Amino acid sequence: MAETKTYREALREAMVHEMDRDESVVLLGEDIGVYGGTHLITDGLYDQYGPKRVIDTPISENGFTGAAIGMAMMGMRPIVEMMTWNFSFLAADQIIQNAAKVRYFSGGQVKVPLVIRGPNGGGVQLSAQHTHSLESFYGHFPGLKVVAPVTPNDAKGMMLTAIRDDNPVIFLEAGALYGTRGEVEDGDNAVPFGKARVAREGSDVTLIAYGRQVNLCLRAADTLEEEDGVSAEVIDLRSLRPFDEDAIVESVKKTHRAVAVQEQWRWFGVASEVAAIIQDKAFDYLDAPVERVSGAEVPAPYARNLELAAFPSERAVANAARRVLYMEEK
Amino acid sequence: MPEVIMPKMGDAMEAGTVVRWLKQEGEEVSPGEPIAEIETDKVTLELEAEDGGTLAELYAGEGEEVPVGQPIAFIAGEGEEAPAHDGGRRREEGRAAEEEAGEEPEAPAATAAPPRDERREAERADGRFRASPLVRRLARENNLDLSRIQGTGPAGRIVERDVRAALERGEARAEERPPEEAAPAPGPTGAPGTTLREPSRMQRVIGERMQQAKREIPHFYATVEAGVDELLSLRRELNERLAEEGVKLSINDFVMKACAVALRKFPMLNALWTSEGIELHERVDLAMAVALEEGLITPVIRDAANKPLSVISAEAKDLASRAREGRLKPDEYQGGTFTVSNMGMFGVESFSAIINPPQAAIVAVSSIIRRPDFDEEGNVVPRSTMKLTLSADHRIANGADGARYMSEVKRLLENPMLLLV
Repeated sequence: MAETKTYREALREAMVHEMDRDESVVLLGEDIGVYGGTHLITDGLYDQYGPKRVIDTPISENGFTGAAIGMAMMGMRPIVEMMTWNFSFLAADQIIQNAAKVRYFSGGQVKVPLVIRGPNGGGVQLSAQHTHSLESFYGHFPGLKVVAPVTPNDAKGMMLTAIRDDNPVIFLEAGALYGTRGEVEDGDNAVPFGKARVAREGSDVTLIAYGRQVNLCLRAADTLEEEDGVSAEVIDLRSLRPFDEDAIVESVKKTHRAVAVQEQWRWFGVASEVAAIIQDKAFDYLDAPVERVSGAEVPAPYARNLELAAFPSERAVANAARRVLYMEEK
Repeated sequence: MPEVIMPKMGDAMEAGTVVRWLKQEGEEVSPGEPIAEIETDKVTLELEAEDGGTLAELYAGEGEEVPVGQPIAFIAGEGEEAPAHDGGRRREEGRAAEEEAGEEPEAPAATAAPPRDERREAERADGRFRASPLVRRLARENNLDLSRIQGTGPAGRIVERDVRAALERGEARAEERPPEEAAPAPGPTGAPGTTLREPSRMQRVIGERMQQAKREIPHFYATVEAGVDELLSLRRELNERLAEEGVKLSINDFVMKACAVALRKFPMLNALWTSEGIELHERVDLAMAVALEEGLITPVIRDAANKPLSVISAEAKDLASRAREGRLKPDEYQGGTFTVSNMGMFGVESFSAIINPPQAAIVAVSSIIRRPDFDEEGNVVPRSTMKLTLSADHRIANGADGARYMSEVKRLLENPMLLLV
């Protein structure tokens, strides 16, 4: 059975599913309790599970993240909400120095089953201190898992997997898509990490993205089909660490051309990693250099028109695809 | 605009050399009048003017090699002037690789116009080219010669669509290019008393074709010895009686007729090895090897099995003499289905020949030798004999076909009256 739900409802459903199943699952964050969460993800959970399991915290990211790490080390399964991922920089020391390393430091004796979740990236006019995409930053550190679901079904399924994981998971939500709807499987639909999803099948070029850029790529694929008769395949990476190299390599072996799309800045980004993996594992199948489509190298603007200009557009993706197809000059 | 174009005078012809201009700039020419001598791989031909007028400009110099289809001269009608710029530029393109860019500062338009193509040409000139990794893999898998594919990507990069198009057209197969795969020849010793001679184009072409034939065609051989006393006396008698009519039959005329007639029963030997399969021919178009100073050419006697000896004889004489003068037309030395090579005049006791591809077989004819033999009662008698050796393509015919064919040739030569019916 599947029902149409919003991305927001899907996340909540996953947390409820696990809180019912396992008493050690607790929530921490600013305004997540009485107020129901700034983004209404935890709406109603305070009433349902009470203040011991849905814990309102002061504005003290480093403090409550550190507390959650300690709880995890002691056998609980905390879920921490960052009001936006930008604020996680305040807790970066705890996340990077402790959460990512404790299991390694302890020779495997101490696990950190912790989920840190919140909206990542922009698209809702919240300007530079609320908008940036931190997947490359956290993806850099061994010891952290980093995932970025885009469909409501994946939001639920991957949250189930994240909560059950014995390692710290950086759960990057598509904040701009909280209200979007999609079919969500009932019950336990846990989606394994490290497995990409073919969001659209195609034969001429592979568009690789994650998070809300997947939807952009799907629209660009439609445009390419209509305007140029080009059949584009769209790969939703879902999980950035672990990373599904095989899915990308398989697709590029079929299409011979690839465009990697990310909302974040170009330098040292996920798209660079994707391009490097393709040239490493599918070099003999490439007909053109891998193109990267990224955000502009500026702090995210507030004004809507400027914000739109600073992020990848459907047109930019389609044009990049045309370039790797040699339909357009570079 | 009556430009004179380098003609394509044979399927394999890609370029020709202007040996000599028979008319000079400014001279009047009329349609059909020879204006130049053109040398191809095989022959030297006179090029006739198609239009009348003033030979206004010669684009190609004597000794210059020009690709097929390129203009070599311009014939101006009344009041017309040669389009010097246009003709000049097109000529430049043909020689782009050897010309230094910017040598003609007075013609900025010509040097500025096609930078892209020039760059491509320049890359090819030093043997390098750009190709995507996919293209290089496809080239490996399909045995393609990428240097023969024009790239349409940035800076002339060869991309997938270029390879697919070339494959569709059936071009760029690397195996069509045998000489480069062969081991390089050793360098000259330069010892005293040696001279170095550049092989002629004809030598090169024959060399490549024969090398290809020996490498790719599995040859087998079958030799018979025919008694030819009866043939010699018949020939003497015929030549005496026909002398007034100017007929003089050679031994080779009889041999060619016999080879052609015998082929009627052996279609597998009158065949061509083609890309699609074995092409069998009802008609025997008999190629005869003619030695030239610089090599060899094989003019063709069409439908030799059905022509009387006197006609074969006359055609063979005409073709041979014109071959030696280099005056054969391409359609006179192309399209043979079977070859006879006769070295009888050189006192050769026996020899075997290399098949002339794509044909299936060739017969090598040796000298007539008078030697002692046994007659039916066991007495030693003098006898004239001739050895004939078949070389055949084992992919097309088998040994038994070859043996039966050669015994039929022998039967015909030993019963030469059969060649007169």
